[in-house]
Amino acid sequence: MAGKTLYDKLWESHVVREESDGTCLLYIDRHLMHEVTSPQAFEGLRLSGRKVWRKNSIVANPDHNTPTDHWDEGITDPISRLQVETLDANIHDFGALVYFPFKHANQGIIHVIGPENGTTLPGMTVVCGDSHTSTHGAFGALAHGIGTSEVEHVLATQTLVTKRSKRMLVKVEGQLGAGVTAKDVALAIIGRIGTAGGTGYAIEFGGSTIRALSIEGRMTLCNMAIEAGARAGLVAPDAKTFEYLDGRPFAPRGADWERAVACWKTLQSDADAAFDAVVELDAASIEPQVTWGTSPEQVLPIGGRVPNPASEVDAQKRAGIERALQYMGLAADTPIGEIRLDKVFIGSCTNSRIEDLRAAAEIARGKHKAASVKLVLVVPGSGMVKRQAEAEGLDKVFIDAGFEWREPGCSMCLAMNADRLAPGRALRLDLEPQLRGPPGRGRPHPPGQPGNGRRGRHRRPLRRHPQSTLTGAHDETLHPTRRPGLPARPRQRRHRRHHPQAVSQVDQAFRLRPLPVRRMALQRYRRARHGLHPSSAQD
Amino acid sequence: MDCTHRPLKTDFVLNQPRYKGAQVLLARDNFGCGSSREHAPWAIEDYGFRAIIAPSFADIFFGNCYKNGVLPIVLPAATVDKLFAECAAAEGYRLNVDLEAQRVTTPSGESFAFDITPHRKHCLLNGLDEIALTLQHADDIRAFELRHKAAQPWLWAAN
Repeated sequence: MAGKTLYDKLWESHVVREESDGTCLLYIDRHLMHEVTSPQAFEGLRLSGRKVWRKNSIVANPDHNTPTDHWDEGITDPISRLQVETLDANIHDFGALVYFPFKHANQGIIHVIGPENGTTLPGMTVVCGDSHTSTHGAFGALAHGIGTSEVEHVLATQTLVTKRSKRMLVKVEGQLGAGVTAKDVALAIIGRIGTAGGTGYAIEFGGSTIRALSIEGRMTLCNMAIEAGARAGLVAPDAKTFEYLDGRPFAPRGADWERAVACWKTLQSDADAAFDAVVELDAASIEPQVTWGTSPEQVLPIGGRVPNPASEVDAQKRAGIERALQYMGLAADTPIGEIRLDKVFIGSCTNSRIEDLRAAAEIARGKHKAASVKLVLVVPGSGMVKRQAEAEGLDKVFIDAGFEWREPGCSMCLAMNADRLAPGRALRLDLEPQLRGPPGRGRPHPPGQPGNGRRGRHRRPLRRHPQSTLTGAHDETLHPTRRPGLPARPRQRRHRRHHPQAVSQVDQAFRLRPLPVRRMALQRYRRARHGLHPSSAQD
Repeated sequence: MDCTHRPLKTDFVLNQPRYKGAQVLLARDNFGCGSSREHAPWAIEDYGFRAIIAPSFADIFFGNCYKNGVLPIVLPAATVDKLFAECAAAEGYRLNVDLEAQRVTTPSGESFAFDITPHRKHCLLNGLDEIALTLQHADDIRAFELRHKAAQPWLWAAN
């Protein structure tokens, strides 16, 4: 019998029950949450009078809508503020293991604070209403993004209804060249297999190159598994993983630690494990990568030229290139190195950890941004990262170089806060690209390039901050009085008009439920929102 | 946010009168790529679409469709091409989607089979709430938790 892959082991150890068609109830150990995809889920719980199954599985924190400057002014955008206040109220009402409200010393991007607090552990199943949840696979956890309905399902049942993915092994062997980082490896993989190449798969990253990556580098790589179309990325835990976790606030201790490490050491694909697909890359062939267009698969080595649609034979791809060129304001055949930059953003859940900031500072040290570059924004991934960077003097390096040193958050990556790009501006994004669209003309670009000599350097900084006030969500000190607005809603049964005959006015045969329950919860949410902020009711 | 006062973009295909009230959306490869947000199927469902036909879908979006009462149908690329061509050629073009029989039928009577898991089909046809279905197995979940906690007690440690 063939051995098992890491994915198989993680999957099988979490199956609660399996239906005859392979649909499984999968148990969820860790539920990460932010303010964008959770409100309708909590609302659904309220409407149906359901409880949270296991509140101690929840780690929550607002990040998408929080501003990165002028924290003294609070959140001025009413829609952003409402989302953040709604998360405050929901955690207050339902509970959590960890909650860092806006302006808390440890608040940050959910995919940064989870690992740095030791709430992501090998062998766990981790979900979050956010596609970049794949980040946590760097620890050998089965981690993937879920939709809001699934957020509600996990809240109410601690399980997901899901099916086993196919298994892909992406094997990278050899030593990376100077200035080539985990982000370049991720983009090179996407350049090879495309943004849909991983659809239906969980990708395990293996090979000597991956083993040589730091834990933060592995997070960057797994983070981008979603950009390759996969739901989950995985790296088997090893001594580096254990060293990273040892001593973090929510990592096991004492006898539990020893037992946990013994268990985690078994979390590897067996030598004879069978994968459904294997992709091999030679590390030495990977150059620093730049995405020039509107999709991460529109990626080229730094020495390349912007493609010419005329030389693309596939009509659909040709049209895609033409649209991207127009959107980006680029001429075909322009050398990548000659593209003018207006703004630079260093941050996001892909690249906002301390190693990323060290790499960026190393390049900026003693230099100044060009006058033609209007803004360089450095947004640390969390309060802990920010403090560490300041302790190392990185903030001074950035400020001296003419960069802006901001408060932690998701920032320009999706531009739900005030950090946005005006039309027509070219942006170098040292982050993962959101597919198409906001915040503007994104040009993701590897961090620390060229000359990142910092890889593998290990410090032991982000541990047990004495001021760390991790606490259960019922600690009132963390939860200032609940804001007015969002009044407690009456408990009522969820109304469901589901009778098949009520549906079809057009095609009798086409019977689907007429008004999914989500819509009703959403409508209630919108009404509540309008009631709270009449001024924002009109666009 | 209330967008009802925004002027319609007349050059957008779905704002053309001939597609008003359409319930079936024809789409291309990897439809729904790039996000786990359910706002994507909400928007589609808000427009009035009940089914999407495409050669392939992005994984998370595909699952989110079912959870919001939208039926995603995978048909071969050549078939989807054909449907696009027929639809463009005939105003008022209608497809019949029969979930019970798992078939898409064109006005000419040509019919294409599609796959769907029995569980998803059952839930869509009966408008079932997935949480209530799962909670029927609450005892299984509790039993699993006991085993899991015995094997990995540190997962329950609360700081």
